[in-house]
Amino acid sequence: MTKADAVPVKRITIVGGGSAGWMSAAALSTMLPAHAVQITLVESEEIGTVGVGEATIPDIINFNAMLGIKEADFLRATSGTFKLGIMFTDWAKLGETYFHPFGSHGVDMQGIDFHQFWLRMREQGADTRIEAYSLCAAAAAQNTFTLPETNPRSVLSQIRYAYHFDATAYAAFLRTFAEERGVKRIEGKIGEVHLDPETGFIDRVGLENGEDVGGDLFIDCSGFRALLHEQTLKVPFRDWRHWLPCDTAQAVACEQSGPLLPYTKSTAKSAGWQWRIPTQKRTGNGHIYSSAYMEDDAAIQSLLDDLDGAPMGSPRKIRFRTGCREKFWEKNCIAIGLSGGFLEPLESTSLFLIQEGISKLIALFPTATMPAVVRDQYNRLMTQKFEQIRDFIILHYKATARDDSPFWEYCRTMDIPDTLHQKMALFAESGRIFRFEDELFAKPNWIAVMLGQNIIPRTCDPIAQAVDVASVERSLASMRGAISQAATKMPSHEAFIQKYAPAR
Amino acid sequence: MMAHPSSPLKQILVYGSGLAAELTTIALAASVGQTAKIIRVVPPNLPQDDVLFGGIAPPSTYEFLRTLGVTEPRLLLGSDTSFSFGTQFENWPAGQKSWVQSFQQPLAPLFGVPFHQYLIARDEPLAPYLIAAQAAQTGAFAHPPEDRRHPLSRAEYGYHFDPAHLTALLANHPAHQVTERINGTLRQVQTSGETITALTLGDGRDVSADLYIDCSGLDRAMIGAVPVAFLDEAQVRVTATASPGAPPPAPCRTITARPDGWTAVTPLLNGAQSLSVSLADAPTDPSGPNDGTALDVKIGRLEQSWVGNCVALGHAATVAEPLSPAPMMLLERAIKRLLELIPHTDMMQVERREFNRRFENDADNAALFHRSLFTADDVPDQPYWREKYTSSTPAALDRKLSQYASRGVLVQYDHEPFNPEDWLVQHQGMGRTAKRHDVLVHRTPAAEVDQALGALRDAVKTTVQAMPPHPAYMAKFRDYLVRKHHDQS
Repeated sequence: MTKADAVPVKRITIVGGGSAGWMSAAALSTMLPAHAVQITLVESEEIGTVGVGEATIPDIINFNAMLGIKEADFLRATSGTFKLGIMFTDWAKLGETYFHPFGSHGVDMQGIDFHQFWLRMREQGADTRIEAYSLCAAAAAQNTFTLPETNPRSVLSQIRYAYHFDATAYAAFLRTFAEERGVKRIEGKIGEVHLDPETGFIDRVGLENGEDVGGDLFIDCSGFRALLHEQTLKVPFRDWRHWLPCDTAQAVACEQSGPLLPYTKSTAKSAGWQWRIPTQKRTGNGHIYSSAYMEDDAAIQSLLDDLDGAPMGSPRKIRFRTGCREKFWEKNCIAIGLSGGFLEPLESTSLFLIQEGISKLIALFPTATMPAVVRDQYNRLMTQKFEQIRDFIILHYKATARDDSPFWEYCRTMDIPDTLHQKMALFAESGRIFRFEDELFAKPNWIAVMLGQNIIPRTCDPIAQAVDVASVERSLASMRGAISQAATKMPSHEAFIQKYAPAR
Repeated sequence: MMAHPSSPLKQILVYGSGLAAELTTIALAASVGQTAKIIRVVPPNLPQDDVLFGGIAPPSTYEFLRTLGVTEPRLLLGSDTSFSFGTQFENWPAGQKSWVQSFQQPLAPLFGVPFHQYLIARDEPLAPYLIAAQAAQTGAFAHPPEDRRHPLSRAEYGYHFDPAHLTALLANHPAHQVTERINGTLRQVQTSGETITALTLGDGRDVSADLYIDCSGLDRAMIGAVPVAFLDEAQVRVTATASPGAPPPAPCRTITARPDGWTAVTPLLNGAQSLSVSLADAPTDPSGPNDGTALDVKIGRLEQSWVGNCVALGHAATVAEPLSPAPMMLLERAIKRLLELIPHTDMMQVERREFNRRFENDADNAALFHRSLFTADDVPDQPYWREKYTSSTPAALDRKLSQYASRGVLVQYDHEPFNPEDWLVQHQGMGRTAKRHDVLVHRTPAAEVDQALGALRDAVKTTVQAMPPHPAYMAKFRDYLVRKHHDQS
């Protein structure tokens, strides 16, 4: 090892606030020794963040736990609610709805996946939906919620959850958290980025007020502008528009009305889809669509027509490119958040991808020379993560019977990645699912969406065929009963929140 | 969904007489025996190539056999199987480098950081923290308790076995009652393109099935009749010798490097099995075992192990030098994979594709672990060792080695038979070091880390000192099983 190889990173500069910037700052200031590394975050209040009502997946719980944040404090500060899954409407076909819950359906028996028994009973004429075997789905249907029990014998141990919250409030919450841990915040807009002529590394960023901010390691959290990664380092972008053609969103919050739902709603429209994310004080809404198939005015009208309550302001337009950078880590700069890539929030993975970017950086924390071997591993892992999530999202568009608009006609007939094609074919044959390398979405997720999107296997696994039907029927009835009873006994989601963590 | 113009899968034929054939037949009979007819065609002689299992089974074998109805008491009382904490590598690849490649449960992170990162930061060896390795070196054995607080609960164990004994035990399994057994030699495999249509036996009979499972080992009696290539890496000579009445068994196998190859000694309950590996065309080493069965084998794998309606399992699909439990691991995983993908009709292209994808992953990833044992600066400059360098280091292995060398990162791929701990033990044993470590190790004050590491080392040491010698434990345990069996009957 040469002397230069051992020089530690002493200054980390994060460019941009928002969820990505402040999550990075909070995590790094918690995990890295404060005396050894100075973390600076540069942001401008003049530049807005994309921050909309944010839906998440259960991994966010680990992130907050890693930071030592108490759940109730976090929910109070961010107007947060609980999320048990996503209700998909009009995706497989107009008029059809299914629920993608967190956690599994039913209990595996004799080493055979539960859904194989469900398929077996379906072949015998049973018409119970698979959601009846998910506690999260059952509770969502009744708008009830409680925290999971730790006793694995209790049916309540099956609860898995995430949150809905106000992303701007989350960034503000994390800002306070990070600043308390020594992160220095500099207000200012970045003018020029200075590179080291010899190495091509970013040496410092110049602010419009003339101040320079240097760093050994830069984190680009500047959002879609990708100020460092694209505008300075010219890292190419891998465009996935041919698989995921939506490129525009209109977002607006509306007043709360009706019961507080413990789930996200995703409703397919003629050229995209709309989300509804309930937080304690308002409901976040958005319409994501393809500008090739729908005009902005029509998209806005569709969004406003479907609001539950009065709009709180005018819809805000966001343009995006679906895809990711060829390299997330180039030279001494790492792109985290929208600067690194974007996948539409159909499965609420945006914050998860930020989390992954941060945790992999911590696990691979470099020396100041930014060894190629470290960057290479980071890029491999992040690319894999993006591609795996991409495939899962494409599934929602591809597995559809919709032919009522040119957009759906395109999606239904488009070519898809080979890995996804094989997964769909295997499931269609006998309901088999195999998880690929370290995949975020596990078997239960694929099963829920494949069945929801009407990929109904031709038959069940031959091994499940050999199990006695009467005993399967008894077991399934017993599971159904226990789940339904437990969901009914839980408090309403609203009552639980009011008691546990009402917003300030 | 459109119905396929296909016929239901009604008959599955297993061909072979060794361990792979027995295990596969039992597994199929137990899981699909009620919906499909299982036909077993058994050639007259036991295959010699079962010595390629190296007499060692991984920890997963306990559960694998249990699901087939072969419990540990049945295994121990019905064969001369003994317990194994792993393999002691001696002078590998040269000089004084020795270590126990022990079986180990995942190492729990310490203060939220991968455990080994502290050792890298402090330049400390891993072995004192590995209870299986420490016990193996002192010749002690006891079953790991279920209580997770007990240091021994972190150990895992496999088995040392004689394939012929285990095959004989499995041949009496009740699952065989639901199969149709045909004793006979195979005269001809009838094919149509990639599809096997029937087998013609020595007595002139034709036997047919919808799916054919080739467990004939190196003969590749059925898969050899369909168009598929064998991707060979090297050809070696494997010589096996039995030493009855050898000294009391140690709870680990020993592999010793020789200039012209290596020798393994696997301790069994009533003796030991020696296995010598050298280049196929090398002159016989007078110091090695030379009175046993010698086999010249090509190391490698089939390009695909499921072609048409024929699936090759065991040595028919993959041949690995038995440097690790990989041969048994790969067989177990292949059988499980087959059960997961049993087609329900004769249209099996979807299942075949997934089977082959995972077969390739399994076989290639296992091969990386072996190849890695030959990747060092001090490898002897001898033909056998040089042979391993005829091709460049695979990119996947290069990534593993460079990431470890950079900062102790343990890269894992999809479907790796060996877990990160296996790799870590090997890296340390081979003397590989990391230039840097995870910066997070410095989050915890050094005194706290000292205390935690010291407590772990002491717990391992104290526990190992209290463990009985392996032969004594085996004798008492078998005695207990016999008495229990007697009381119950």
